[in-house]
Amino acid sequence: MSDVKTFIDAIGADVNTTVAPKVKTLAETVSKQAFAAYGPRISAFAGELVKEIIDEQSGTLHDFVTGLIEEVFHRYQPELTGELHATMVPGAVQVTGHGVKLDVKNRETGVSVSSLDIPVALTIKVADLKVQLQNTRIQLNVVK
Amino acid sequence: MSIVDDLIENLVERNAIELNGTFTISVVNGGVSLKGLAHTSLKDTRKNNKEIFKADVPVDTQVSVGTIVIPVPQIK
Repeated sequence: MSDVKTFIDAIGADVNTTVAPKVKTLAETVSKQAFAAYGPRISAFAGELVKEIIDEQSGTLHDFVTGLIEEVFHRYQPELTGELHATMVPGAVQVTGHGVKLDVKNRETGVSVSSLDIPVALTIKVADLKVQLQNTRIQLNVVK
Repeated sequence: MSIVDDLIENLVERNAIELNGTFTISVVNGGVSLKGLAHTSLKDTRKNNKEIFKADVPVDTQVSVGTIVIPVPQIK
């Protein structure tokens, strides 16, 4: 006598070998017929529907997006704070940020909603500058 | 006008300094450096630019520049 698991496995295997191919064939047949008969009509209908939706709703969407952007900009105020320190190093000017951050504040309350630290570290190379003096004449005059 | 005034006037007005040379300006640690050689000559303009004095002057100077603090621009 087999246990429950073996019993169920056996039924499953049988269903797979006998029923599954039939279901597969039926599905393929229905699919082919549906694609041939209804596909073009559904496609045309869907295309027209999408066009109408876009035509009718584009104004609403435009107003919504515009309003949303306006509201966001009215509600929040970005603020950039900090200092840049420039120092001379051999052959370059080094710029480093000190406490540079972007604060997004609520315009009404002034409370910081979010803050983003911006690290700044730049090295600007400065090539040597050559100056040539050629027959530079200095003549003085007495002021009377 | 005194004799001294006359002398100075003559010395100053009849002479001219001519400079030639090449200098290199470079950024160094904490400042800017100027190095080069200046060829100077003093000429008498009333004697057909006759050279009366000549000197080669080496130049090696450094200008200290402290940290420059730039506040970040405000968003208005």
